[in-house]
Amino acid sequence: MSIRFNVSVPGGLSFLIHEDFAEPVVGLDRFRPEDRPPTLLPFASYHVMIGLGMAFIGLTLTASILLWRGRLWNARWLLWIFVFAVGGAMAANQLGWVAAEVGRQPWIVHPPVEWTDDGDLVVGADGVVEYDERLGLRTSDAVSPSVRADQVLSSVIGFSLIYLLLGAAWLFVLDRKIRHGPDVPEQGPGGARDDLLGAATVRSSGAAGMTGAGIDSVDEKA
Amino acid sequence: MDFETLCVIWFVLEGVLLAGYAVLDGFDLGVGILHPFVARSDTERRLSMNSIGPLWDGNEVWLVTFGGALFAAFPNAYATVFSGFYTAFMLLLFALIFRAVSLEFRSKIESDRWRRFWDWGFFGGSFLASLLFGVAVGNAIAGMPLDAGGNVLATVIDQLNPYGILVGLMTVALFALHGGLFLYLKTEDDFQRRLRDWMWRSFGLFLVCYMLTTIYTIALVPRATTNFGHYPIAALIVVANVLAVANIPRCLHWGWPGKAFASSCVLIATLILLFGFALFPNLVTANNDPANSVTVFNAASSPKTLTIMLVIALVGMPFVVTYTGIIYWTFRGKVRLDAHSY
Repeated sequence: MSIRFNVSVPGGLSFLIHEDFAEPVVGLDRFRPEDRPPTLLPFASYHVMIGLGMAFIGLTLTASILLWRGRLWNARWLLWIFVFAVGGAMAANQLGWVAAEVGRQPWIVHPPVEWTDDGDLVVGADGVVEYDERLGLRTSDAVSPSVRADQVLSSVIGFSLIYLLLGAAWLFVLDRKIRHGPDVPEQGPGGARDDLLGAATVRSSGAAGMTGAGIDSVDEKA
Repeated sequence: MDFETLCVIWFVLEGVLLAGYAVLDGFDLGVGILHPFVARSDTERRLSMNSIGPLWDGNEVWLVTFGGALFAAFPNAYATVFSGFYTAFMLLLFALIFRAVSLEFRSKIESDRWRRFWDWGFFGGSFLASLLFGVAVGNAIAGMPLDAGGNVLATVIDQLNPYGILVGLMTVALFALHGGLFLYLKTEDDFQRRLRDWMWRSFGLFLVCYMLTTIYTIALVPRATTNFGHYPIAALIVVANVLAVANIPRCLHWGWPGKAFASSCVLIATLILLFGFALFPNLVTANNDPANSVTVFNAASSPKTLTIMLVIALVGMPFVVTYTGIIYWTFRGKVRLDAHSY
């Protein structure tokens, strides 16, 4: 497989794995085809995830510069991007799971592999790794015989429905909150401070609870 | 420490976690079951939800810990139970999710229809979760058909048998009573007075289910009583259990809600104790062939795992007890509403 549009860091993966730029990285060609994970899905989902992460860093930097220049609150195009960026954050979260879960197939528990003294993978006569199957567990063997496919399917459908409903309710509430706008901040003991630290002080003093009941909502003496 | 002792210790610790869960989450599930019936005005409904507001999620951690400890200490039992109860546990998850979200969403928008929807979501989630816990316990007592590999040979329809449903209804009534007593301690005036009737109703329903379950168990589930033959001293648990049941109407009659709530805590804890005692040494009883039963010994992890977990439990337990104590102390007394309440 050839890679186009590649940003290459020579020896980068070697360094990440072995902390040595010259050490070779073991490739999938050292494993039998039936012991390899599908590559397209983890590759694509992982790269989209990293791309989203980089885009978020770029957005944050842009916003920081605009804030510094005092132009952020007028840059509506950027603020609109931030409105939808939350979807990207969720997507990145899910894509990371896809990369991890698909990337570890066909194993639920990967059997150990052996290494030679000079850090090379021990392979059999035909040049590929010989697993001791007793020490690992294949996904196909890990499926419970007492759970049927239709049970799994109905739970997937059920979860999708409940998440769609909750997602819709969440958007509805969020939209109302945003349209309503923030309440006028309460005056703290030393007068409200108009910066980040001031906001943090108000929050940590118990004036605003995160999930509902504030400290003074239940008070015997009240 | 030898392997068998470790297995028994972890069986006892699982019992402690389950009892802690049932006593703590029992009352907030109960508040959910009574919610649409006892709380009439919008303020009352907010009071009812906020009475458990700061507490319910901490209480549910006990269930998570119970499941997590079961997975680590008795992985074979975990596999049997979670696969065998797959559909029931999915329903349970939906119920718990819906209930939690109902609490969070209900008061966010000032609309009668919106609030009524989430009020019933709170009720439905609490009711279904309590019912399913009871059904699971009922099936655990009665046993299920298992193959030699510990796979459950029953479907969710088999699990909804009369005995399972009976124990499920008993659990609903018990949690409603427990939650009613808790709510009584947290409220005042009219709302509090109205709770009185509902506590008596839940107690009555519980008493009927309790007696039917006892008769059914003694008559038709012989395995549940064998351990009592071997260890007659366990009759003391039965005595404590019956005394706790009897003390509740007494306290209600004399107007001692605190003592009544303490009794319902003891009642739930002793029921779990009886459940564990009846079950031991099985975790999942095979009712087709006793040899297929999943026991604390054949389902346990390695001694090393059990030892490491024991150390973690001994280090972690004081923290859990401390933070639980602090939370309950901080939110003691009657419930009050403010701008940040549910």
